[in-house]
Amino acid sequence: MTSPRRAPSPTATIALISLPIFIGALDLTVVSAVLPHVILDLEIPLQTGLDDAAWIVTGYLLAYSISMTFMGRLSDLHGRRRAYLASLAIFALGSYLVASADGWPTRLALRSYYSLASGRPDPAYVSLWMLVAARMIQAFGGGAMVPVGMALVADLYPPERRARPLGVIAAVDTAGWVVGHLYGGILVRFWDWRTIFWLNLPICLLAFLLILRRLRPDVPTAERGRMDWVGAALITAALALLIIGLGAGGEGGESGFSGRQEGLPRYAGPAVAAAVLLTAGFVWRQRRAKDPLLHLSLFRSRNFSAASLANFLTGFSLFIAIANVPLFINTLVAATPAQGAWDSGWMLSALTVPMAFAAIPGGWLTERRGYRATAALGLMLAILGFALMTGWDAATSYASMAPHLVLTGIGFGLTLAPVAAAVVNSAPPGQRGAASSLVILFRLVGMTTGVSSITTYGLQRADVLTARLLPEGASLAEMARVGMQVAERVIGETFWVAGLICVFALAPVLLLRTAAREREES
Amino acid sequence: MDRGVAPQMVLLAAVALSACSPAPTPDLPVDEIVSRSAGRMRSMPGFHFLIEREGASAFLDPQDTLSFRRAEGEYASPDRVQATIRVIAPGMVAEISVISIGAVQWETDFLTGEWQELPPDWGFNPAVLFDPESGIQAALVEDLSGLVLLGTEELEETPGQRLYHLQGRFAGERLYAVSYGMIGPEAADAELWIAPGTFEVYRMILVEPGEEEDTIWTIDFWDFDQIPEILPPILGDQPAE
Repeated sequence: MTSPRRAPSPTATIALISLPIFIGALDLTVVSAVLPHVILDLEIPLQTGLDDAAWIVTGYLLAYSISMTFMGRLSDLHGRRRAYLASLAIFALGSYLVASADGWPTRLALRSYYSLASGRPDPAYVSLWMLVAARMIQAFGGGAMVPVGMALVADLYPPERRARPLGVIAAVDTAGWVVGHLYGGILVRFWDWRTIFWLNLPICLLAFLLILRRLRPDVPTAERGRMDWVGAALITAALALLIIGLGAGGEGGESGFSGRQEGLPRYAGPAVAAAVLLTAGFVWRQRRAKDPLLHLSLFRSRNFSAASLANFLTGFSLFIAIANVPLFINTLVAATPAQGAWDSGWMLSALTVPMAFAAIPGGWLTERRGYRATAALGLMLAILGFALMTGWDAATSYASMAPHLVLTGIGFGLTLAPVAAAVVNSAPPGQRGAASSLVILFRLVGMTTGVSSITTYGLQRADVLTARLLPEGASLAEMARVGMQVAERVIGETFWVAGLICVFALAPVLLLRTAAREREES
Repeated sequence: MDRGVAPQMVLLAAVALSACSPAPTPDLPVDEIVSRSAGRMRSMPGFHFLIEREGASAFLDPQDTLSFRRAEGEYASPDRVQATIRVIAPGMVAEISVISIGAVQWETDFLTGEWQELPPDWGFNPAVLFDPESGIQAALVEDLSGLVLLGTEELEETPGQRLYHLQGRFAGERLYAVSYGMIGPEAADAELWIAPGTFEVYRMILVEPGEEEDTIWTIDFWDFDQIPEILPPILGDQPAE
């Protein structure tokens, strides 16, 4: 006779699932530090290959977002533990493929090509696309772990006690992707970039075995039904096209061998339009499906809708800071690119580390003061931080920048837990997985929209300002001076935009009600 | 199967196969294989090529900062070439597009991507490298010695196609001249893969001995007889004259 396995405490469960979530999130940004090494190692040309190499980051973000759309729902139907272990295994497989992408996967792809067509595909690009594909597999597992983990935690606590543990998960997730660039930067100083991904394997194996052994097996949830694969396909295609279309903002126009064309690539507009149509198709499908992926009735809850919108806007604003602080340092402050990478890694930590830590008191405050007060306080701190950042110029010292970044980081950190808790608490138990997915998904879509639109804005604005400020027949020294002036002004303007987006985010946050009030109303 | 039908089927298959495959080549001396191959490459109106360098660096500039990595492009007889050249500079990899029409050569700027005309006798010119009378095609007949036929084999890039595999030694002076100092001038070990029947050269490998490391050049050819359209580039808003 076997003795019944004792379930671990909720705290132990959080600890068990936190490590893989941390690693998965870490790998979202770890490549920002190692990307130059990867590009050089794979021999990707600077002029033509940088846009393609950006897919190492964008592809991860895309697959990370896509898996969130339905893995949470799959966990509602098939059990959290099973879904979590499957996600972890996919993440580990992806990590292995990333580490070996330019080895046997590239050789296999080339051999397959030769058996089908003539010509000589460039092995550098074949390796690059193998790496992108492997990163997407990795992200598919990594992205799924967050909502499934959140739903797993939410199952363990009553609604009024969920904010703090959800805050911990949000903090772990945020801490992962915010320290990713530092972790990557430190590792590649001593080892090959592939080491980052090889290191994931023993960690994943350990986590897999511990969860398999320690976490109690799934109990059937009240939720019954089937997976809406049509809905999943529609939202997947919509997200993919949205990211491809918005990501085109940073690319140049199409060109032939002997000529160049300026402007956006031709596919940008149709891709975004198709994404909007597919989203409409997804909504239509969700209204009619017997077992929808996402119960649209969730949006009838004021807290759910308001918190989702706030999440989108904070993601938008946050990524402007994450993208433009390194840009500011590299363009205006650091003497060399290597120094710029190192300095911006550390300076960005002044934003991201306080953000991760502030998520924990954010959960504690939410339990005492409610969603609205905590999130509003956080947003106001972030607005103040951005306002201070608009005053930066090339002469601003790191010591002066750091407090502004800390303030902004604490602001975002305080906002994470109440917004996440407001969404998850609005969902019935059988839909918590799907609701948890949306918490992260809205933030990620906000981030993608933010970075893409701000890149497009920045490039256009820089062109206008350069044309206005650069005298005819300018010397190289004048060009450099105007370039610095334009960069300073454009980056400053983007910080204003980020602050303004936080002001917009205050509107839905002020609509949030306490969990008890929300239940009474519903 | 009916015993009476089987021989007819075999005969039919043999006829069909002989119609699809290159005409069978009689046993030729290796010098004759190379000579026919040089003639074929010289008379070809166009082809696609890829030159790759591995091992020790080969620099394109006198300051030894731009190391040649690969060049892929198209040749149209007698003197037109367009190619994309990949170079490795300290801390970065970059590509330069090149168009050569006769003695005139254009190149894209390293940083801006804008086309610019190069001064006469500027340096490496792929049109000179593939000149039918003085380039690689001529070197095949005049500069190769000690040729040995190793047998026939397939290349990974052309599965299902058996090719003559030859080995010999290339004199380096001509290659040194036509590559503007990038290859040679010392003699290099050479391997060639030539199609029986058509005598098209599919691959050449040259191994140049180095002090610390050898430099290995792989030159591939495909899309034989296809004539690419090679036009002067657009300089600013106007096509180059």
